[in-house]
This record gives sequence, C-alpha cells and structure tokens, in this order.
Amino acid sequence: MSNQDSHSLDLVVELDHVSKVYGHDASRVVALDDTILHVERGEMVVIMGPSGSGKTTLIQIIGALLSPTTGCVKINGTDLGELSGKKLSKLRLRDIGFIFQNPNLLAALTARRNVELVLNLNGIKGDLARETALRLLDRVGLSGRTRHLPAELSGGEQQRVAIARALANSPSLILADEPTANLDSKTGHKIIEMMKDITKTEERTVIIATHDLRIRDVADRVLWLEDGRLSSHWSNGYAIDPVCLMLIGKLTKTTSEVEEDVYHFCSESCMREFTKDPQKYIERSKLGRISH
Amino acid sequence: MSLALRNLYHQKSKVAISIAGVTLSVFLILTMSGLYLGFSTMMDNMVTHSGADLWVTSEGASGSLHSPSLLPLNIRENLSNIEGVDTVSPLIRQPLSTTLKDDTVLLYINGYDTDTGMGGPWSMASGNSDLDAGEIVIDKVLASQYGYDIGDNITIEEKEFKIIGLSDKSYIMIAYIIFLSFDDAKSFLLEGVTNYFLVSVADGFTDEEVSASIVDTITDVSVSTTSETAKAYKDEVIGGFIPVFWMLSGIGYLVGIQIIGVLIHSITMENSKEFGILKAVGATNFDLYRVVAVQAFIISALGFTIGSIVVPVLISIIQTYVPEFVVEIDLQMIMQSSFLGTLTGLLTSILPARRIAQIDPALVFKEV
Repeated sequence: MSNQDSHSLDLVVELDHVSKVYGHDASRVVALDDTILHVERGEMVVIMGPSGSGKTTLIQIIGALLSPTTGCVKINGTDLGELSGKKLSKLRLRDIGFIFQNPNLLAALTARRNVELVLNLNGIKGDLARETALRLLDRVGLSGRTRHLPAELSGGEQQRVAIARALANSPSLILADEPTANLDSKTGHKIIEMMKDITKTEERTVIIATHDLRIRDVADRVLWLEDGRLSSHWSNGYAIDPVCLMLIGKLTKTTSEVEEDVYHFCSESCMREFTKDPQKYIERSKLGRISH
Repeated sequence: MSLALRNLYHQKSKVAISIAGVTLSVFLILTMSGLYLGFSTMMDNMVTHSGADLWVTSEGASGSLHSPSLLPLNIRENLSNIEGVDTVSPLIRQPLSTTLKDDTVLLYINGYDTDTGMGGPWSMASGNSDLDAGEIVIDKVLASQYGYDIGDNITIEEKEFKIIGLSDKSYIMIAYIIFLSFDDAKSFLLEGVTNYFLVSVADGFTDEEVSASIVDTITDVSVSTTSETAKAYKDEVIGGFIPVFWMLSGIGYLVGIQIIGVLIHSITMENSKEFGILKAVGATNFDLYRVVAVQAFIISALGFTIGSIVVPVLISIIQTYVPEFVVEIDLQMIMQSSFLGTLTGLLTSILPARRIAQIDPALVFKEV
C-alpha cells in the first residue's frame, strides 16, 4: 500500500513486513514474523494470543519503544525508522497514549499530578494543565479522588487514572497491554466500556493486546497472534477458562472433566469456583465461544 | 521540580538521614577550618596586639615563638638611642614545663614591661591586667581545667603568684600562656637576658628605615616587622598542622559527597521503573536527568544550609563545656560551605546520569 493510499484511508498505524528477532543461532527467537497490520482512525483492534506469542513485542514496536529487526512502522504517516531517540520520545508523548497491565502510576504523585505530569512534559503547565487533568479524571469517573495517592486508590481506580493519563495529550493512538488482567471481572468490564466509549466518541485509534475474551465483543477487529504471525483465526491449541473467560493454553494442568468434556482453567481458584456450579459456567463459556 | 520534591518527600526518612549525614560532614569541615582559623587568629593576636612595630631578636633567630632568641638586657639603651625608635620594651616568651596540682603542664611565660604594656594580654575574659610584683594573669582554659579563679594563688616552680585576671584566646593547643611582669618573669630565664625587644617606631619614620638602623648599629641582632613575626608564629605553630586540617576537611567533604551520592543513586535505582514509565510516556533522558539533578541539589542545599546554621550553634555549645575547643567560624567559611553544597549537588547528580540513559522503557511492560 502506497503512502497516498494510506492517507486516503486515514491510517494511524502501518506495519509493513515487520519482523522482530531476539538472540542468535541456537537462542534465536522470532517474536514477529513478516507482520502486516494497518489500523484506521477511530478503529478498535484487539490482538489476542497465548503468552509469549509476541503481543507485547508488537505493542512495543507500534509504541516506538522497540525497533523492528526488519520492516517499516509508520504512525500517522511518519516512518519511525527515520526518527532520532529524542524525536521518538516526542512522538510517544504527543501521538501515543499507553495503558499497561499495571497502572504504572508514579507513587509519589496524586492522581491529578500523575495526569498533569504528562501534560507538563509536553509543555502544558499551570492552570491549563490542572484543569485538563481534572477534566480527564472527571471523564473517567474519578472527580472525587484527584488528591489521592496511587496507594490510596483501588486497582480499578488506578487503571482509570492511567487511562486519563493516556488521554492527556489527546493522542491519536492508544496502546493497551492487558489492561484488564489485574482487575476483577466487574471492574474489568467498566474499563472495557470506558475504552470503547473513548474510541467511538473521541475518534481515537485503540489497539489492545489481551487474553481477555470479553474485550472481543467491543472490538471492531479481533486478530490472533501466534508464532509471531497475525491472522484473523485462532488455532486449536487454546481453550477458554469457563470461569474468567481468559484464553489459555490447553497444556495447563488445571483441568476438570464434566460429561466427557475437558475444561481448562487459568488457576486453581477458577477451577474451584467451577466445581461449585459447573453447569452455570459451561453455559456461559458456550455463549462466549469464539467461532473457529 | 515538583516530581523531584515529591520523590524526596515520599522518602522522608531516607532524606532526613542523609541530611543528618551531610550536617555531620559540614560539622567536620567547619570544625577543621574553624580550628585552623582559631589557632591562626590566636597566633596573630600574640604578635599584632603587642603594640610593637618591630621585633628584635638575636641574630639568626626567626622571630618565631620557639626561636632560641636571647638578647642581653643592656642593649635596651642602645636601641632607645637609635633615630626613629620611639619605645623599647623587653619581652620574655619562654616555654616552661612544670607541675600544677600533680599534673605536668606546658606553660608559656609571657613576661612584659608593665610600664609600656607592650606584649601584655591581648584579650581578657575577666579580672584586670594591671600587674604588680607577685601578680599573674592566667589563661581561662588553664583556670577552668585546674580549678583556679581570680584571687587564688598559683605556685609555679615554687614561686607563688596571686591571680588577678583570666585571659582569653591564650590557649595555644599544646600550651597555656600566663602573663607576668617582666621582673617576675626574669626569674624563669638566665640572668641579664630577654627573648625579645619590642620596638615602636616614631612618627615620620618607616619600619624599614628603623630596622636598617638597628641592624647597622647593634651587632648580632635580627629585626622583623610585626607582620613578618606574625607569619613566623603562624607558620611554626600551625604550619605543621595545615596538611592535616585540609586533609580532614577534605575527608569531611568526601563523606558529604558519598552520603548524597549513595542516596541519589539509591533513589534512582528504586525509581528505575518510574523513570522507565516516564520514558515510555515520552520523557527524554534530559527530562529525567533534570529530576535527579534537582533531587541532588535539594539534598545538598538543605544539608549544607542546615549544617551551616546548626554547626556554629553546636560549636558554641561545645565551647561552653570544652573551652580548649578553639574553633572560630566566620562568614567566609559559611559561604565556602554553601559553595561546596552547590558543587556537591552538581557532582552527585552526574553519578546516576549513565544509569538513567540505560533505563529501558520496556520495563513498564513487565508485571511486578
């Protein structure tokens, strides 16, 4: 796809034949293999895949935190390979918002100051920065918690502060790496809804790398990453934990057999929960199943 | 600025310990410099407050405190007759190792001409210095250590004197100065000799002119100006200690750098992940370096400022209980301390710069 075509489609992310290889010879690992990915403005793309499939590597490459071994990465038409370290920092600051698995807030700063800091780095200071931070925290439902330190906030609240921080400089692209992994199901659901709302109302592009099948329902596109390759189908080597609906490898040892069907769990606690009322969870897992 | 301050506030106890460490370092620096200044001033006082313009010694004697100068008393009249000489006074300054209350003590006998007052006490703590025969002024540190007071009698080498005053700034690290009339002091020296003649120069003459005339007129004598003699005193008594003073001050400063350096390094290491977060969201290495530099500067400035305020007060309290702790602190020293504080802040902020540059922003993707 030419640059002109890219712009006519209003592409925010363009990955063309991107590969990432770690190590050499015997220790050589191909994390991404000739990957092509184009994402348009206002699109929400979910990338799923098992642990070690290269999801985080892909997010780091799109986020200008890691250079690909080969291939070209463009954000809003800018080729990242042509930018210096300092310009890459600026691009991350202005064009990309990050949401991590851990909220990664600065422990010494209040919720408001955590959001303000990113604005300050971008040269926005004083009242304007304060008002913007307060507005964003209000947007994520934390108007009453602006003066609290991260340690005084729940996991879900911290993640909402992280979302406000990601939105601070009005980036065109939001990258999220397992944003609901550390949250309970209810809080995780709220965060997913919030991200969906941001995508649709603010026309931002969102790329989420996750195991969480619930996010699949709100995405415009779901891509499967396995062995460093992206596809729109998933392989047969994975199962859904019927309790938490996480995608897990079938090699897991925490399994339970009900009426000749084998169910796989991400943890002992999910398996215990399942054994209390298997039918309830079996029905649920059927509803959430991904078609092959 | 705000992040640096809040990081420090977040680690209050660690910062407080570091500031206490820097204050101790300032204590060491100021004490060493203050001891140097204290003894230097005292040596200066011994000469510059004598009222003399010229110091006459036996030939070859340097004019210093330990000089083996011995001059016949009978040249006093010859000196008085030299053109340009206004006043001539003999002065005995003679070390004496003696026993006081079963303790061996080194005294400096300072026997001066009570008529002219030249070479008499330069600073009194209490009492008076109008000595008559059989009276003495002793150093206040000696008085406090051996339990003497004004009105008491003190026996020195079987001679008894009545204490009429206590002198200040007359403790010279290894010895205490006692002041006697010249006639009383003569009994501690050979008959018919003195150590110095102090000469004041008449109006209309220069020190150089009179000095030259004395050397031309009287054989086997040397003449030094007051400033030359003061320098000789300082060089002899303090000169040997200067390398030690500077070395200990240097150690104090290095201890300060070490404390701040360790703290800044430790905070940087502890905050590696947070710096990684900042890098990931778009902060440059320079942004992070600025945070570290401000942290280092704040700790240095606080440590050195608190030290500069607390240490002089602390020294003053110590001196109340330990009078021989002869430490003088002046504004210049405090300014130097502040300069060192600024320098320390800059130096210690350089240390973690490499570490910051190496922080991988991808750290933030690893779950803790």
